[in-house]
Amino acid sequence: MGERTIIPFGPQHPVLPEPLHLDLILEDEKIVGAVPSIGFIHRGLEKLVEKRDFQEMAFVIERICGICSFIHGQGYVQTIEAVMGVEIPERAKYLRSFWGELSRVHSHLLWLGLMADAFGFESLFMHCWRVREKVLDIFEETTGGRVIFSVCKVGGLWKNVDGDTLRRIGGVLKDVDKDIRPLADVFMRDYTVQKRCVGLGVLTKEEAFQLGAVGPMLRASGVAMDARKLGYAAYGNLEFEPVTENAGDCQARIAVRVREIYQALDIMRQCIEKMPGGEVATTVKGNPQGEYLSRLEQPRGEAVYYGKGNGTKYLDRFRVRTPTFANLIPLLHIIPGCDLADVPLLALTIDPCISCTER
Amino acid sequence: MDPQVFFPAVKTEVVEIAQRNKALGYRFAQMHCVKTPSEMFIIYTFEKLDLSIEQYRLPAETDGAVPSVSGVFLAAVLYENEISELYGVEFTGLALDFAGTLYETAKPRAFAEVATPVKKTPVKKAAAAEKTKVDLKKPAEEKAPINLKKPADGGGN
Repeated sequence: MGERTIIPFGPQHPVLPEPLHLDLILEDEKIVGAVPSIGFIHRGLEKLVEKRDFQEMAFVIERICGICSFIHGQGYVQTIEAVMGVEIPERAKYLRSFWGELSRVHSHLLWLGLMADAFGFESLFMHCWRVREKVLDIFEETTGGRVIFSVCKVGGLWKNVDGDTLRRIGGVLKDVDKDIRPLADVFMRDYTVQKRCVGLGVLTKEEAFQLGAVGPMLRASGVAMDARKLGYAAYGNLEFEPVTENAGDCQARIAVRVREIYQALDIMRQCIEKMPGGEVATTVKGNPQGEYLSRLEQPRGEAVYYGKGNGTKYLDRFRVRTPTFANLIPLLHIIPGCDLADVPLLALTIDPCISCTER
Repeated sequence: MDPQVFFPAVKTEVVEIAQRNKALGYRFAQMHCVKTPSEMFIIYTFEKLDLSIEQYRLPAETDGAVPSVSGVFLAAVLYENEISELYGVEFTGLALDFAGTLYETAKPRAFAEVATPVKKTPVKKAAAAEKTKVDLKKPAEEKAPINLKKPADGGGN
């Protein structure tokens, strides 16, 4: 048995977009164990719900994270709407799905860029983020914000998008599709990327399911679970199937995210074609009384939102279980057996969003 | 949406419930604690491949002990540590015990007390308007020109 050393990884590290600490236990160059340490950006946002009007809390919840902000806002208002029995207009459902899928494209392009940077392919990283700028421009045009959008409210949406703008955005999305194709070819076929990622961090189907993995981390191991199939917002009327791969390694997770970008572009095209007319909000009266647990599919995986109201304008509890929180244990499972130099890639392969994890 | 069902559970059954659900093909989805002025409970959520869920509600108390389900579902370990640290519920038999160092909040058991809502003081519109009122007839105050030759305060040797 070689000598054991403990090497700290993070919380500050060039590949980590947010602080995460791992104590890596090594025997020579091989990792035999990892102990995580989080809590660097725990803000106690769930506790704040007891002191803030439930209508105002939507603005706080979407600030849990800058990348996942739209779907956090959607998850919150959807949960409160379920508690209060509010039915939102159809157009609002389609627009929520549209912006949700746009968030998915944005998030996956961001992650692909970070992943390319992690294995030293800087030009690929810059191209991914260049294409991402077009997506952020669409967000800015339709919502007024590039990062935090503040469009979801209990009862529907604060903003509408007219048909002409949607049709023009459809054309922009075709350009995004064309821009992504050469980058996708590199991620899926380039020799250096394959050499770096194939066979790394393998998670079998059974392990992924039992350890609680969600999102691309789960689907890359062959498990076809996608919370959008629950049919929330407009997803019940849209055609799509969960994107899966079978290898369960880093390359498979890249492939799932690349294919999900194309799937998201297709879903947005369907939203634009099927978008009904009418209002985007309904009047909401009264306060939430009761409890409900809803699930949405964030770009990183299934997010669980639980809300409990007591009939006043302050909620008793709002709980957010984010996908990275669920993927931390699978991460600790795939790290042992790999080399120290592979840890940055493995840490990134779950698409960590520590702001979401700690809230 | 249809109301959801939360099956009641007791401490002595919680591990058995986890084992039974695992045998039925469920996996551990999430758990969290809820504390209100009148009650405190833990919600367990298990989910299947077809996205169906089963949920259980377990009464709990700060400083009380609950058997850990991390021996059945390793995925539960982070959730139980979180509840233990934020609400003060002790989980016996934890597979990995962070001993209160998961978040390291400035205040221990930060979620164990129910917060008091902030009461906003109503602002009288006329008084607020008076403060910000601008007298257009009065010329703007002249500010002294900046002397570029004089170094800024505290700067330079």
